[in-house]
Amino acid sequence: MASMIGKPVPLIDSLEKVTGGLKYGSDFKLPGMLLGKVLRSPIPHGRILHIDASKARATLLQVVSAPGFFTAGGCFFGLASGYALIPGGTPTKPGGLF
Amino acid sequence: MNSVISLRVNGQDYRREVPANITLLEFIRDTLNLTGAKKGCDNGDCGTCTVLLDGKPVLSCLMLAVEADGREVLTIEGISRGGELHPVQQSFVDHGAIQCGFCTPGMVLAAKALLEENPAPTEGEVREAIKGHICRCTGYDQIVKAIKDL
Repeated sequence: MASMIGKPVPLIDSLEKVTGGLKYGSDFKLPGMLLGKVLRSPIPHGRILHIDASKARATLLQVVSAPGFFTAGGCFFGLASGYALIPGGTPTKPGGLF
Repeated sequence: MNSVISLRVNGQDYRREVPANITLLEFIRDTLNLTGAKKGCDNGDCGTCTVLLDGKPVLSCLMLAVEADGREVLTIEGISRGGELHPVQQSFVDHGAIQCGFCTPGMVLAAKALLEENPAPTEGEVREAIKGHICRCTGYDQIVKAIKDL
């Protein structure tokens, strides 16, 4: 401890950061990883009257309409509003988790 | 539509078939798994996706992978060799010019390109060289000192 006082101490993770080796959240890739995308209303304070998800359903494994909460592959997704497209996973009933 | 591109990344030659619409950043991160270049804004505003293309800094989020055909790309992973930090990297460490580290790869590469062209930049020239790089920890002073002291 005394050897550190009054001396500059390098950040413990500075080497990883300066070489680009440190993994940030968006740098992780795991086997079978699910990807989700939240589509929000382009209109502030708009009301969703209708969603035509037929095109999305044709290419994705799961399309989940919120508001509410649901799980996919054991992960929590909390959606205050909007509309989610989740490849894989099992949606639960909105609001059924908490 | 896919195209076959040949390029050199960090000294290694790659030949890959890529969709014509993926960016150089997506190619580097998702195809080559080099995640040192970050996707910050994906809009050309933040600078953290910077790589060196034939020695010059470019925003890889604003460039298509197919545009890099036949070119040489250097990413942050490619500038330290054999466990030795590049002098710019060492200076960033020594000056504590790193906080969260998200902007660091882009800053280091911008600094490297600047110093190769201008080995003794003024403070103004250093600030000019990193002006497209946003550090949200706001640690600019240490970064400028780290580059200026080289």
